[in-house]
Amino acid sequence: MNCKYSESELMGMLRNPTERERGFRCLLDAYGNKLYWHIRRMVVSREDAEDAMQETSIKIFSKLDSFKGESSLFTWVYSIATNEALQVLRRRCGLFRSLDGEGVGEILRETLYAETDMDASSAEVLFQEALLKLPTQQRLAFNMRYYDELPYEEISEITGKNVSTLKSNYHFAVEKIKNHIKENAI
Amino acid sequence: MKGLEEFAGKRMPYREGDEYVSRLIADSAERAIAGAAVVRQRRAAVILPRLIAVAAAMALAVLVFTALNKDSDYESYRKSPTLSEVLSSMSDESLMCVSSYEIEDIPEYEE
Repeated sequence: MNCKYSESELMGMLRNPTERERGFRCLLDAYGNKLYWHIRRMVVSREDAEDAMQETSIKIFSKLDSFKGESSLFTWVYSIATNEALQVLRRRCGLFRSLDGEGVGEILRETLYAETDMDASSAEVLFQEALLKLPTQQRLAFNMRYYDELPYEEISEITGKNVSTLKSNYHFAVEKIKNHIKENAI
Repeated sequence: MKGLEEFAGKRMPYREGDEYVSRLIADSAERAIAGAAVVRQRRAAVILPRLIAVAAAMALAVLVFTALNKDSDYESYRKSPTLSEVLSSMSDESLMCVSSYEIEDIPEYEE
């Protein structure tokens, strides 16, 4: 698909009923890959990631009218994807279990081992293992900062947490990952 | 951060390649568009019969209420005793109470 549009051009297309569908396809063409991997990193399971990606697409398309343009289009779609990912995690790990509890990490690590590519390096697996030991909020902040390189201000808009909390989340996440690697690297 | 990047990079240890993800995203976009169209049609198909059903239920309720209450005023009027019957059934004392009052009991009419 040939979609080389700026955010404002995309916005124009999405607001125009005759161009909305094309605009939506271009929107997913531009950001879909990032959204998918963001979800996949959070939910770990490929099947769950595909479901959450589908739900995200449906929500984005059905809520286009409610997008006021107060944040960037990317921030908005990324927030929807984040919510969907957390929703899936909650469903998967039990509604009454806290997402920051140890049990959640265990479930996700089992999924990681089951779905790891045979060609993946042991460093990649160890790194993911360390990530899945983090509480969900720290993991979320780490993923957004490390993988998607989002500025703290944007992460703050997406998660509703303040910048200093996010910075400390990220800092603790890095320390814990480093320690895990140090303790487990062969 | 360089340390972590050097250690494992940003690659994920999963199987799906770029092509697979692109197709998945394109499919999910198409399904979202098709789903929205179906929802619109379904909503239109559901709303009209619902409106008709609600209007019919309201009309029926009004009819039933009217039918049940149609004769009640007339019946109670028809069955009520006449003034002379009421007066003749009253004791003398009661009649005195009704007919005699002090002029002060009448409230003053103010304009």
